[in-house]
Amino acid sequence: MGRRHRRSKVTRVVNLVKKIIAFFFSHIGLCALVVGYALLGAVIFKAVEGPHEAEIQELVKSAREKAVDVVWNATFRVNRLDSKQWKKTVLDEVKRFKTVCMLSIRKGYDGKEYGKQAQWTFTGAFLYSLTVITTIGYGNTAAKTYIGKTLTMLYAIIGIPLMLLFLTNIGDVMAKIFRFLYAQSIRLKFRLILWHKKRKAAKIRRANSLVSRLTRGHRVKADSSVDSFGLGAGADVEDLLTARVEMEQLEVRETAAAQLESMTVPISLVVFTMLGYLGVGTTIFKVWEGWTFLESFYFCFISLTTIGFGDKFPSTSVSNTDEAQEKLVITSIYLLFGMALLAMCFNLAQEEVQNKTRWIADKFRSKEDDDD
Amino acid sequence: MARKAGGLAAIMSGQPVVVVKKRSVFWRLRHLTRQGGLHVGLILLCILYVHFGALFFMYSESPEEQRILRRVEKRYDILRETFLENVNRVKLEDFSDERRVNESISRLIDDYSKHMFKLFTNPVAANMFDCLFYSQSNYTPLWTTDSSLLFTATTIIPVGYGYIAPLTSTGRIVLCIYAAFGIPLALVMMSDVGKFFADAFVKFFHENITAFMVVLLILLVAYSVIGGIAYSKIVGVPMIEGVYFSTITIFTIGFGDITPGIPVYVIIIFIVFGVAIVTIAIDVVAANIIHHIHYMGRQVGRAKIIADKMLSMAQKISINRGLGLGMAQLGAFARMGMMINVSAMGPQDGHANGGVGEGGIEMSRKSTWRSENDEIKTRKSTAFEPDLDFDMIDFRQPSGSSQYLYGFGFDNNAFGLADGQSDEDSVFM
Repeated sequence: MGRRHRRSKVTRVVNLVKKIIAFFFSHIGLCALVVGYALLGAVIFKAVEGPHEAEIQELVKSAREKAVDVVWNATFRVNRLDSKQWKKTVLDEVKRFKTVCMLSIRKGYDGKEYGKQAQWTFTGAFLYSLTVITTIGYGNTAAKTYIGKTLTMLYAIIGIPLMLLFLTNIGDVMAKIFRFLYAQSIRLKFRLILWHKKRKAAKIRRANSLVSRLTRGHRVKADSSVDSFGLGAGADVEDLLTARVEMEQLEVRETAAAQLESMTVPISLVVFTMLGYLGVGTTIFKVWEGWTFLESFYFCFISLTTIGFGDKFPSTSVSNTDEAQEKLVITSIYLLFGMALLAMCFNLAQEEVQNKTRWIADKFRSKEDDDD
Repeated sequence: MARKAGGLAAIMSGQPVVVVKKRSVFWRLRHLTRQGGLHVGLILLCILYVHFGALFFMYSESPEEQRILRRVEKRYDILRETFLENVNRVKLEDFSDERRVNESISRLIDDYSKHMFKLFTNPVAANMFDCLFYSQSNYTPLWTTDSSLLFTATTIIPVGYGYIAPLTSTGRIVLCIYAAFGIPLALVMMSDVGKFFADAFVKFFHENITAFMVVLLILLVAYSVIGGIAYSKIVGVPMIEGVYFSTITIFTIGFGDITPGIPVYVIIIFIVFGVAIVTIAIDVVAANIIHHIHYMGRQVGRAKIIADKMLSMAQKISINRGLGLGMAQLGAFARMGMMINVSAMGPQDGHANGGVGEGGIEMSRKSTWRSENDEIKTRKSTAFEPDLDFDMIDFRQPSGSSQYLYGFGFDNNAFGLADGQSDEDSVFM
């Protein structure tokens, strides 16, 4: 008996270890796959689009130097020009320079200083990869070369299903953790209620004992039918009170069991969690970028719903300083975790919606049967 | 009442119930009208939502655009005059030193371009520059009827090109609320359209899922390529640009780096059907393939037992398909809607399997709660229960065909009936 019990325990421990390994392997593997895919995209897009960006910057630099030369010549070398023609020449040259700038902007130039700042740093390319596979797509940074565009399409076709799978699994795990914590809080709540009612029952029982003792003393003095009737009435009242308290305890236990079995988290709690996360993001970006509260909230909301207009974007992140690169990484982590949290919230909310829809369907079916 | 109770008793006992009932044509017509009305009503609701949103944003943002335009024009004129004055002053002051003059002019042009780029960050100013340098024409407003309509449609789908975006505080607040309600609505509508076509295809291919998957992939690629070719023909850009634009659009990435020159209604219809096709393709094809690769070779005995029970229950429910048709329709409707909502971030197939696992876990939890001695074990086992969900995916693969045979709602229906028996009322809530 003892030996068999020990073997059973050993087997249980081994199975537990297996489950632990499988659990961590599956989820860590999936997270590593997503992060690795984004890093791969960062490497590819930096290699493809980086030279193109440098080329455009060089073009603008040349145009600027040419504009300087022409303006200088018009101002100082050709003395025969009168004032009106001089102004026309200068403005024409400046206009030509602006035209080159506009065309370069269409090709990806962003007005940053030549050679000192770039969109396609490693972290910038990483954020770009992340916005592709999460379908946010800000558009502030976008592929401009044909190779870059083709690679973006292929990258999206493979990466978007992978990201959806990641969000589904992580959303499921987070939803179960959330549900577990919620169940624990419900259990704790009902335990407190039970304890309170048990204390109430004990108090009533103590009061009943006191009354019984007084009544017994009274009955010793005079033994008559009237006293016997009074004692009977007291006993009935005591039994009723005790039974009622016990019934209440039973009701509480049944209610707790019912709630734990249904295991649905209220939608208000889900919405509150999501708004809390948006609030955290709002605070971060407000401090970093100097935006107003509304602008920060607007950016976080537009990002997490994958709309991604790109009219608000962490602009100071696009540079080569270490602090800016760190901000870019934190932005990426915020978006990734926010997506998973959103998936969790939908996972929890859909059960509530399904229950309500099922109730409506039952009503519809009853009505349909009546029509028959 | 008696008939209804009989039906429930039959379902609980697991006996098949043969529904032989001749209904009148009038009843059938009314039934179809009721079911069809739900779908058509949903589509009309989406259309109205988009149009009213477009009207609001246009009337909210146009005055702000005009105000910014006047300010930008004034600033641009000042910038140009200042530049000329500065160059003239350099001419008068530093005539002799050539190198110093060159540096001064260089600095002036740098300042000029810097201020111009700062102006360019404002979308109204960018639009003005575009009109000046590309079209050589007068200013075209950002918030026209067409652009507002495209804006609201691409907000709720959610492509989010970003060609135009609200600049006022009122516009931004309303946009958050508008998107919060509009995105679920649009995704439910598109999932409904997608489900309709998916069911038609499944019947057409005689429930051959492999052929359905292949055709779906071909349809996805063809839709993207044909859309790209059509776009490049109409607008006059290289084909790679057109295919790039259509692919980025139907995946709802929406960079907005390429401006569409197509009528707004055409592009909106293209987006709606494209996103529906992508959603179905990702759900049916990609998720199954990735799940299969990810969970190849993993088995757990307990999960197998639970999966077998789920399969038996599903088969019984499928036999009683007629009884639960209405319920399944609405259940599938809601589940598809919410799933697609998550499907923007997670495939539906995973959730379907998760639902199966959830039922199993509830059973196991119920049994463990009965025993007082296993309290510690219960807590440990609940910590690792998510593992079971993914183990059961291997055993759900054979039932994939049955899932498509009878629609997407029956797994939900099975657990719906099981959950219906328990009392969900709460005295303390």
